[in-house]
Amino acid sequence: MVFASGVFLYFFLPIFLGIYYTLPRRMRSTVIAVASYVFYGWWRPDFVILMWVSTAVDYTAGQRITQAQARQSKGKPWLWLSLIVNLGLLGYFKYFNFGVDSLNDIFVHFGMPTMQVAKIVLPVGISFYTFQTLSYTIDVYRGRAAKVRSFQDFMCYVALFPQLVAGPIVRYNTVADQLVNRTHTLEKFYRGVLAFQAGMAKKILIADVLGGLADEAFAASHLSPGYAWLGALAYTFQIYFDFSGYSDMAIGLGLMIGFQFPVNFDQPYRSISITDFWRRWHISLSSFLRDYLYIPLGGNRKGVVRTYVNLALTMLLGGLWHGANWTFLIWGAYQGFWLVVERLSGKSSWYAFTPKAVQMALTFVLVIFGWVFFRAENLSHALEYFDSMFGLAGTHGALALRPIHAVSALAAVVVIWGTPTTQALLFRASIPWVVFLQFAFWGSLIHLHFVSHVPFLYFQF
Amino acid sequence: MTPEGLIELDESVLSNGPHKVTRALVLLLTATVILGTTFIDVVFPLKQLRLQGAEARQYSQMRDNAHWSDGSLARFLEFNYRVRSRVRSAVGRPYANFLLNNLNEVGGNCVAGSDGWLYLRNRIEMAPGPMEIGPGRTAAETAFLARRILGLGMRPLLLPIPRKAAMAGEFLPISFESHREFDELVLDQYRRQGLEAVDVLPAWDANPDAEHVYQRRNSHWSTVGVRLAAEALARFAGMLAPEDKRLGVFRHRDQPARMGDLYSITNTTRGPGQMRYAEQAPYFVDWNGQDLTAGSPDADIALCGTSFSAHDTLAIFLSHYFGRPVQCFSSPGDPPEVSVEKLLQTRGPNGYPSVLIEEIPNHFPLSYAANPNGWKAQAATERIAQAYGPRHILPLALPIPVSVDNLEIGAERTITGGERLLDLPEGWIAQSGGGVVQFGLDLINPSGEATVEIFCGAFRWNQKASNQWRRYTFPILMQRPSCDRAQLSVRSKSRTDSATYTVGGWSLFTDVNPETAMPGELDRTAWQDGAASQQIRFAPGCEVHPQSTLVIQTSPGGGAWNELEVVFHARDGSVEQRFLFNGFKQGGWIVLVPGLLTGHELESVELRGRYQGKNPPGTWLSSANLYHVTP
Repeated sequence: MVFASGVFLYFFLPIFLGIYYTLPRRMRSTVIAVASYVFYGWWRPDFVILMWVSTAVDYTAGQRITQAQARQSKGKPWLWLSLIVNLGLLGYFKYFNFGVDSLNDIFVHFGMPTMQVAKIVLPVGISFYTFQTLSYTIDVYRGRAAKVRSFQDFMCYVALFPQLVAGPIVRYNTVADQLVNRTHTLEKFYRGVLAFQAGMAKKILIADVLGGLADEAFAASHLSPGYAWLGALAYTFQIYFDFSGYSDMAIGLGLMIGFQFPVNFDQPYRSISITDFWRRWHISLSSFLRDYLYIPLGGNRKGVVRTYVNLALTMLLGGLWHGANWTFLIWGAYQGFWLVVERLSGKSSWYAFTPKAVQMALTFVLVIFGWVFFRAENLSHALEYFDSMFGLAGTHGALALRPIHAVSALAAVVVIWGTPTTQALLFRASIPWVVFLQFAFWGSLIHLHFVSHVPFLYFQF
Repeated sequence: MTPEGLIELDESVLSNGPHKVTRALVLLLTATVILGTTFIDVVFPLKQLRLQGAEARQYSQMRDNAHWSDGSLARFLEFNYRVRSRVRSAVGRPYANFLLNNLNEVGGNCVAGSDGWLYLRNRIEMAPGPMEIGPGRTAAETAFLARRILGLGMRPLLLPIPRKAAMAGEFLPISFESHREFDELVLDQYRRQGLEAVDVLPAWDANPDAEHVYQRRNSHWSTVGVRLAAEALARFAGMLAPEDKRLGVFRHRDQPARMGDLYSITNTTRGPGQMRYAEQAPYFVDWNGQDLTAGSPDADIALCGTSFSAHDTLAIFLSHYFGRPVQCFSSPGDPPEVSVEKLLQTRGPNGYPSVLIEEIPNHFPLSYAANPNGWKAQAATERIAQAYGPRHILPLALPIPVSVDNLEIGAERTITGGERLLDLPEGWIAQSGGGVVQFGLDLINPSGEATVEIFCGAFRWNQKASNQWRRYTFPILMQRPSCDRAQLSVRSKSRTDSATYTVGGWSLFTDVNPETAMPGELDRTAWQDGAASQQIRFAPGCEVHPQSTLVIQTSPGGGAWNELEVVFHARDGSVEQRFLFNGFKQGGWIVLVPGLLTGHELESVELRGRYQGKNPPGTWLSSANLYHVTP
């Protein structure tokens, strides 16, 4: 089920909220867990079992590690069990096809027979919930979090539907207290509604409209440079408004049921360097990678060379986390390269001497280049698209621009560079903004009926 | 944000009076919108679906293919909900009107041009890849069908209809091109295949009403366009110059349900029966002559076509210009091959008409290889091929095995969707024209969504797979010769189907009459610095007929030829050239239809190319024959 659908908006959400607020507090976590399984199973019921496996393994691991630590033992085998099960599930469902295809390419190259195996379907959101359950076990192992008090609470944490399939990645110790004691106030609910409305408008009125343009651009065999840049820009806007829109909706739904989730975006396209960009883009992932990958690898504590290696490796794996495709790996390497370059020049960009507006513009262009790798079907497709962007594919080829694209692009520009973040707007909730938001939300509700089914981009990761 | 990175919530900020009022209003309004929609849609659901066009097709397709296991049922339920919502039906039309009036936005497959012109996007935009792929394949397939029609004693006449964008290109949005050259290319490809195809563009261009041959808000031609096309066709068929009648001669009538209305497709109007707007020209006309009505069951002229002829207007005008009844077979939304099949089924072997006019809009050849219309056309052609001929089969023996490393003929194997069944190696066939590949496949296909496909370079042919043993026939392999690797595979959307199959056999053949073979005399291959050429000479009296077919076999030994060029020389000096860009290995077939030389006497055929190999043989060709298709 997706948030931007009639079934969710007009049936699932009202029924869920009705039951949630009718039942006593002690049953609310169970209600969330059950509702989340329905929400997830709506797409494919059998994959709920995977989530149950992950839940059961990590719950048991957490309990056993705590018991072991009480006996002055570390409980390492249980940590390994959690790592093997979660990363095994992730590896099998996400990277098996990729591995087989890559091997087959090698076999074909050497004229050897290829492997014929069934294609594996990727369960939606597996990258998110396996990371969350892992964070629980690791935090308990490190002593940074206490074991969860009840199995119902843990089911609720793993399956929490507002952020289940596309984040933000909520670490256990972030919501450990909220699972047990969370407050439900009208004010919280109100701000949740506003955040949800903002996310919905971002998704429907901007991301989906510009997404059509981006799809057309990346499907074209060749484009003139101007149109190729326009297509890349359209995708740059689409991915931000799609993903940040989902995050806003998730945060809003969380607030409606008393949860406070971490902020996931902080005006990333206003960054003045790639280092700055990664402080603002998908914050929950970048901080997860920092705390559970970069620092355990040694971070910057093992010399200059290791620091750069760790940085590059973290970004490479971060890229691969997004999908089993060479393009994601290259995108990760590309981001890692710029982070290393910026660290070499003292954590600032090589254009730090220029005025701030120029730094922002240059960073934005570098980010656009990265998104071309991210969006392309494969490496040769990305290179062909770059050819179009730089006029190497001729000067013919146009996109079918429509006035609605201009309106959405203008709205995107205003939101990115002309307004505060959604969280800042939520904090103030000024009356003119709230009134404007109502029109945007109602507009997106009506528009929703006219667009075809467009799932969120980050569902695939 | 808080130090922990959480959303900042300082409730004191919102504690004043105006904020409390705003809060109450927002929550009340949101609850009203959400719960109100839920209430109305649950308590007062729409009694019946009022779907049409693409939406209706999507609905039935989703319903038929819905499965719980792969999420398609969930998607169908969401779709079902959206299309059935009473709230949607209420807010939809004003919102669509708002978008159209303020942003010129119609969305979906529709494009709004200037001055109120609407177009269908997939009839404007060119498919990726070379422009001639779709037209080439359509022409080859139509030529194949024409052989059957000729074989059954009918004269096929083709009426290609230029696209709306080619005629009303000046109203297109700035980012679109009319691509009028595509329509010219389509005609050229038909004629290259030796088909009698009528060019209506000159007649349309020359008419002062040229701007109005298409309707402004409809995807179909206007009465003006129909009349001019019928007149051009009559002239082409050698009729005496018909009297140019005013439209006033014809009786007009209103037709409330207008096929192809683009406003209804874009939700701007609610549906057929409720549209009220003036058209440029009356769409439906009645011929007020005596007995020249369309639909005569034993008419000597038959019209097979699409929605462009579904309203009888074309048949009525044709009746007028030909002066005799015209029976109209049309299948709106389908390619004309479907109507041809209907005609063959309806009229028995003793009652076939003398002339079969096939109306085929030029948007069909656009990316024909990969769209549903292409599949339907192919399926209908396949059924016709099996049920009505061919009269003559010339088997083309393949000296190289078609199964390489993964399958022997008759073998069984279980695979999953999307995988290849077998590879056809490079040089497997070099053929153009009416060749057929047949094979049997026993498929277990629970989803009902699987297709059997042949890929070869940029070409793709596919047919919907059945759940039992069935002989599959792919009527056309190549619209131009090719030696590329080819692959046969079964593709399934769900990727979960399995297929156990038995390939019963392969046969490659062309439907020419072996008794009409006119053998060509082969000169020795001349070669110098890698360039090679070889002449085929024909005895005097070797006239080229429509559908005459040259079948050449290359020698089993020697090397490959690249950049092959075939030049047909007629005795009167006329020349037809074909460039066959692919590499041609030894032991293959080249099948060519010299359509442009119809009526000329063939003197010789010259093959030129670059030879790749160490020791060129004395002759690269082993045989060459010109065949005719005669009933």
